[in-house]
Amino acid sequence: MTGNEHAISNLPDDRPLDLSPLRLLVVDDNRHMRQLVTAILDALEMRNVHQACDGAEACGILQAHDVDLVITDWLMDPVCGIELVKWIRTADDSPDPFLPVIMISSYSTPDRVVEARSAGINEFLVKPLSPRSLYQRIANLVERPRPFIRSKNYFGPCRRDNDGSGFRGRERRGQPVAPRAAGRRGTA
Amino acid sequence: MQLDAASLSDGVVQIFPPKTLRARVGPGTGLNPRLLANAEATVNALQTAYEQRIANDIAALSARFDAMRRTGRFDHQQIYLIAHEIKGEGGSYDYPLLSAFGHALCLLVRSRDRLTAEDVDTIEAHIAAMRAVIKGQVRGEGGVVGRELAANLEAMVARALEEAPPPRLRKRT
Repeated sequence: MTGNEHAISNLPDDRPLDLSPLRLLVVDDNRHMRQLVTAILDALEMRNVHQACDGAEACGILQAHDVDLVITDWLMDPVCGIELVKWIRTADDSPDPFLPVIMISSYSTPDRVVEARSAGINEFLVKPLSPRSLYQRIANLVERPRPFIRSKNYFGPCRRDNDGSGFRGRERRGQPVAPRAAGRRGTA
Repeated sequence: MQLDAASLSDGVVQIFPPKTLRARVGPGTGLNPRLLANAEATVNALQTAYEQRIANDIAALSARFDAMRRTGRFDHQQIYLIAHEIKGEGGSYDYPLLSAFGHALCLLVRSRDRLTAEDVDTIEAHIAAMRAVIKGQVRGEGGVVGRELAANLEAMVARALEEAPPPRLRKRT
């Protein structure tokens, strides 16, 4: 545990989340959108925020600084949000392939959401951006983190319902995912 | 680094990330209503500033386009940059029509290095629609009129993009 991490054991759990320790990176080619996102984060007391205007600048910041969470737009030049996520997940020089990523986009069609999920995002937010939706997505990442899946064609957060209870289709992997139980994880 | 992982089936491995946000954040659960109210008040305050700023952007777009028409010199980069800014944030302040019009202008302008008479009409129609949206504070989809306007403008751009580009843009083979 680093000096910035909390000792979890002796504090009451009924108070709201304190997200202020998080170190974030906001990536958007529109400066007003970056200002909007950082203003919302500031009001939510998340003030350790880096900014980048495209995926290429974001890669440089991620290599130079410790970041806990990336919030990125999709459509940017020269390196778009999808390419940024793929770099984070799979590049040899990625600082952390498990880094949580929230994508914010005007794209809302199911095929676009599937494309973003296939790239390895954790959460998808459709514009217009609301403080509640952004706050809730970040809280989800803290409270209900998804395990990662590595398969032949995919590396990223599990794309199934978090506890498996929402899935009603055929189990393509041949066995259902058991709900995660503390202290019973396998080790590779 | 040893990872906390389990094999689910042939070739599929489930991995539990070594670092979690919970470890950085500590205990606690759910959203803080006081902070959420702060954030919503912040966005409301930015909304007023946005409406003034976007009105200025649209006026700048209109003025630059008029100047280009007068001089006959078309600077697509200037129009593209303003349209792109308008597109980027309209939706987040509940003006998705402005985002849609800005996006359409970006598509059209990016495909041209000189304008046909139809292109000029299409750009003028988009600028007029943007002005009307912000003057009337037409939020959301703008009801039936807003949807029809958006569909008509979208059709204009689609027609323009389907047509062959002006001769100077054709590839040399």
